[in-house]
Amino acid sequence: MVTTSTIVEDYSQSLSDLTFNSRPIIENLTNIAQENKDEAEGILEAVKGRIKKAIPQHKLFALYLLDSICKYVGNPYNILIEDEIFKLYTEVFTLVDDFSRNKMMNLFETWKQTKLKNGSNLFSSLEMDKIAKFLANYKKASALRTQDSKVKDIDSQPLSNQALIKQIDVLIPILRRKRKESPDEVRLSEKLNALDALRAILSSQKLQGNELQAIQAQLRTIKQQYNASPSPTPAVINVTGSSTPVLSNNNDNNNNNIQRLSPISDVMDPANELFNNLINVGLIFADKPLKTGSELVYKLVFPRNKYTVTNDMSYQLIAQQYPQLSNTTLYEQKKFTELAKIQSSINDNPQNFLKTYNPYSGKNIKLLGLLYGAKGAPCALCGKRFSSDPEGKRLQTLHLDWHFRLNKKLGSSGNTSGANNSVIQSRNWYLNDYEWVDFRDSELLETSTDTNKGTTNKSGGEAELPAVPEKISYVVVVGDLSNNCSICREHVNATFNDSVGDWCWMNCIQVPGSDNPRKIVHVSCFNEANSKKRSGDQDSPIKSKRGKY
Amino acid sequence: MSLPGFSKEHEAKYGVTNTITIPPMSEWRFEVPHKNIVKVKVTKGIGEIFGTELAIGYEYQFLGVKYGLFVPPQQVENLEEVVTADGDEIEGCTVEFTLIENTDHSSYSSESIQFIEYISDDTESMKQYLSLHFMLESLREQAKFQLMLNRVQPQLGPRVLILGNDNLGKTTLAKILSGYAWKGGNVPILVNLDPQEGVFSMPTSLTAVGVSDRFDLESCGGYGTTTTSNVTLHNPKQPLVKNFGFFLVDENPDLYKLQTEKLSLAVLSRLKEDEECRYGGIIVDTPSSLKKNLDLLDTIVSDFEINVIVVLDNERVLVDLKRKFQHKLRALTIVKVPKSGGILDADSDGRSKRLQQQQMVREYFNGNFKLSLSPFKTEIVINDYVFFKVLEKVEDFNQFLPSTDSFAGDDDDEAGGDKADDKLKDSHEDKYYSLIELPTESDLENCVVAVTHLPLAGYTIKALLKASVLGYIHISKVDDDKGRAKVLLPFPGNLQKNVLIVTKLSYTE
Ligand SMILES: [Zn+2]
Ligand SMILES: [Zn+2]
Repeated sequence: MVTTSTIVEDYSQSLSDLTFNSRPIIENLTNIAQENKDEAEGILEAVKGRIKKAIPQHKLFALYLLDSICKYVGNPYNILIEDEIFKLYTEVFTLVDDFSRNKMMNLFETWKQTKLKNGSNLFSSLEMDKIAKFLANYKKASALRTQDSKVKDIDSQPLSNQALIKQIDVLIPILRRKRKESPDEVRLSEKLNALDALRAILSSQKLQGNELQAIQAQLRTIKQQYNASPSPTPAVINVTGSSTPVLSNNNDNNNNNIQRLSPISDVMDPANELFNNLINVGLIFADKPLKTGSELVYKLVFPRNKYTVTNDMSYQLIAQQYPQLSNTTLYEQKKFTELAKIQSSINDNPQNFLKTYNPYSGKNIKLLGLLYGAKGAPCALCGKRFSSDPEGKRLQTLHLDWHFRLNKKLGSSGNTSGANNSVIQSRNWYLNDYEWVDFRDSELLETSTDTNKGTTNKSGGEAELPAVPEKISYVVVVGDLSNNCSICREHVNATFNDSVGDWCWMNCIQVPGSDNPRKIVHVSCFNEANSKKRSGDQDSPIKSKRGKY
Repeated sequence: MSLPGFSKEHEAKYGVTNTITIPPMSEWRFEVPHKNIVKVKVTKGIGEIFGTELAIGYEYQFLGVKYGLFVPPQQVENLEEVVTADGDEIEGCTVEFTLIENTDHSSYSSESIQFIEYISDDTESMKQYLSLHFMLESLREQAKFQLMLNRVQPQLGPRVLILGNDNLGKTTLAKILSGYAWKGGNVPILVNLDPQEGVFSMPTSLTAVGVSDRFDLESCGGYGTTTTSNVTLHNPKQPLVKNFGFFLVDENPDLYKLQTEKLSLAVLSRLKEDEECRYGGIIVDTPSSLKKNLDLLDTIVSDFEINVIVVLDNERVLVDLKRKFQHKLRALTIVKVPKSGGILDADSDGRSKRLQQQQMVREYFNGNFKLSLSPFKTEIVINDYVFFKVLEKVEDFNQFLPSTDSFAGDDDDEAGGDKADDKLKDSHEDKYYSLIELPTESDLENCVVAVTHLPLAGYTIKALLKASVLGYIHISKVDDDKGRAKVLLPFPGNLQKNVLIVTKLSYTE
C-alpha cells in the first residue's frame, strides 16, 4: 500500500483552493514542487487528481499549475507527466467550455515554443504532434457543426417558447395513452413528469435560442420513441396546473441561474422522482462543492452558465460529438454508433428488448460483429483478437513477442500441451483487501510494462520466496535406493536416517506436479533455479517504462 | 438426448478422431466425465465456449466438463462483405475431437456418467444472452456518458446479479457475460458468492476477480490460474478471497452475510478507483438458495449496489422479486432470461461436483497438465499455530441474543479496540468462528485450511473477521502424540505464523 506523505497530503489540500486563476497560489504551489522533487510522483498524482476531479470551470487553473511546474521546475515533472499529457489534455479539452478551450489552445502554443534550461523541449515532439492532430480534427469538426446549425436555422421554423409548448401538448396525450396500455412502464410516467416540468419552465422563463434547440432535441427523441406523427391534432386534455414544478427561480442568484433545492431523501416522493429524472435527462446538473459538509448545489443545465461540453450542447449533441472529440479508438466509435441504435428500446423496456431483439438478423449483425470481426482477426496461436487500427497493431506486436518469449522460456518446441518441468514455479499467495483495491489488472497482461508481472504480491510469492532450509529436507525412498537429481542430473544415493527411521535422499525435495515420488531435486539446485528465475526477467525485451531517478 | 429434427449422436470410441461441422447459430454440447479426456480442435470457423473463442488449430484438452460450443453466424467475421443468398453460405464451424482415457486417475473409473455429445439448434437462450450482453454494454456506454455530462461522481458500469435454481446455468451465464464484456473492451469484476464453486480459489470461498483476459477453458472449472512465481501460458488473474468455510449458505448465514459485505466493500472501492474496471461493472454469481432468502438477497443487492437482477427461467421468482423490490424499481432493473440449454444431469451432479472440487484442490497446489506447479511438503508443530473452525449455525441462537446485523465497534480503529473486543466476545463473535483449543487428528486431518492475512501475534477476533484469505494449505497427516502435522504448502518455505481457519473442504492426495 502506498502511504501518502504529509507533504503530498498538504499539497492536495491546497489544490482545492484553485477555484480561480490565482497567480500567488500557482506560484506558491510551483515553489513547493520545486523544493520537493523527491515527492514528484505524489505531487503529480495530486495535481492530476485535481485536474480530473475539479468541476470543468476549475479544471483550467489546475492545468495552469501543471504547466507552471513543468515549465519552471522541469525535470522530473515534465518527464513524469509526458506519457499522459496527451490523454490529460484531450480529456480536459473535451469537458470544458469554448472559453477554456481557446485558453487551452493558447497554452498548447506556448508548450510548442518552450525550451527548458537544458535546451530540451518541454514535452516530446511525439506527444505534441498527437495534440496538434487532435486540435486540427476538433477545428474541422466545429467548422462543420457551425455550418450545420446555420442550415438548420434557415430550414426550421423559428423556435420560440410557444412553439415548444405546442409540441409538448402534442406529446403528452400520446404518452398518456401509452401509459394506459402498459401501466407497469415506470419510465413512461417519468417522461410524462419531465414533460410537465419542461412545459412549466417554458411558460415561466425566457430562453435563448440554443437552449430552445436543446429542448427540441429532447422532444424529438421522445417523439421518435413513440412514433408520434409530427403533426397530429392536439388532443383536448388540460395539462396546465396538473403538476407543480419543483424548480423555482432564486432571484438572488439570477445571474448564473443557480437553483437551490433540498436534497433528495425519499425515493417514493413524486416530486423527487421528477427531479431525479430531470437530472437523468441532463437538464439539471448536481454539483457537490469540494469542501466536505457542504450541501449539493443544483443548476439548470440549459441556461447560460452550464456545465455541458459547449454552450449549445444537450445530451444528444454530446452524443453526436463523442466519436470525434474524445480520445477513442475506431473500435469504440463503431461500438458507440451501433449501441446508440438500440439504446432507447433498452431503456424503455428491457424485458421486451431481450425477448424481441434478434442479434442474428442482417440489420443487427454489425452489433454482433463487435464481438468478432470488428475486433480484428484472431491470433493464430491463441485466438485472441486484435483490431487493425494502430493501437490494435501495437498490442498485437506485444502479444506476439509474449508468445515468443514464453515459448523460448518454457523451452517448448511448439508443444504447448505437455506439462513442462523445465520451469519450476509455485502458486503465489493472494492479496489482502487494500492491495487488491490498489491492484490494476493491466499488470497481469502480456502488454504490461511491469517486468515483475503478477508478482506485486507483498505477502509471499516470488519476491520473498523463502529459501528451502537444506538441513531438514529429505525424501523418503520409494523403490530403488539410487536416484538422480532432476535438475543437475547428478547421482543421489540414499542414506539411512535415524531420526526419520527410514532410508532417505537427504538434502533433496520431491518435484511435485508429477505424482512420481522418485522425481527429486537437490534443495540447492531448486533454490538456484528459483533465484535464476527471479533475475531471469531482467532480459525481457520490455523494459520498465519509467526508471528511477 | 435426441432432439427432433436435429439430433446427431456420435458413437465416440477411444482414440478415434471424429470430425463434425456445427452449423451457424447452433451449439455443440458435450459432457466429459473425469475418467476421460476429450481433445478438441477447431479447424475452421468461429467456435466459442461460454463467451471464450477457441483458437483455430490448437488442440484443447477437457475433462470433467459440461460445455457448449456455440457458433455465431458466418457474417460476423467479414462485416463489410455482401452476403449472397447462395445455398452453400452456411459453413459453420468444423471441429475434430478425440476421446481418450484419463490414465492419471484410476479412482475415477467408478464414475457412472459417460461421454455425451450432440448438436443442438435450440439456442434461444444464447440469443437472449447476447441481447442481455448488449443491454449491459449500452448501460456501460451510458455510464461513460454520465462522466461527460460532468457528474461529480463518476458513474459505474452495470452491477448485475444472476439468480436461479441449480443446474440452470447461472455460472455459465456469468462466464458468458464477463467474457463478452472483456471482448467489448471492459474489465468487469466477476464476483462468486456460491461457495460450492471455486472461482480462482478453493470451493468454500467467496471471491472477486477482474476479468482482464480470456478464461482458460482447460483449467478446472474453466476459469484459469492465479499468479504464480513465474510465467504462465495463459495470463493469470488476481482474486480477492474471503473465507466462508462451508458449502451451503444455510450452514452459517451470519458468517456468509458478513463476508459478502466485506467483499462488496472492497469491490466497490476498487470500482470507484480503478478506471480500467469502472465501466465493466460487476457480475455476481449466486448460490441457488439465495432466491428463497429475500432478506439476505436484499442485503447483497444493497451491498454491491446491484442495478440489474437477471432471473433464470423462473416466472415465480420474477414476480416475488418485483414485489420485494418494488420500492427500488426506479433504480433496479429485473429481467428474466431462459435457462441455458446445456446438458442437465441431475443424478450425477452431486458426484461430479465433488470430483470437480477435489480436482480444484489438486490444481491449486500442483497445477494441471499444462502448468506444473511445485507445492512443498513440510511438517509443522501444531502448538505453534492457532486454528479456528467455522461455526455451524445454532438454531435457537436468536433466543439468547438480540438479532442485530451489525456488530458494535466495527469501524473502530484496530488499535485501542480492546474494550470493543471484549464486548464482541460477549455478544457476537461466537456466531462466526470458534477457536479449536487443542487441535487433534479429528479436527485437522485431510482438511483444507485457509491461511488468513492476520499475523498470530496479538490477533483479535475483530481483526480475524476482517481478514481475507492469504492462501490455502492441506493437512495430510496429524501425529497427536508428537503434536505435529504433515502439511502441503503452495510454495517452498516455512508456513508463516498467521491465524488459520479449518474449512469444511476435505481432500485426500
Ligand atoms: Zn496469441
Ligand atoms: Zn541437483
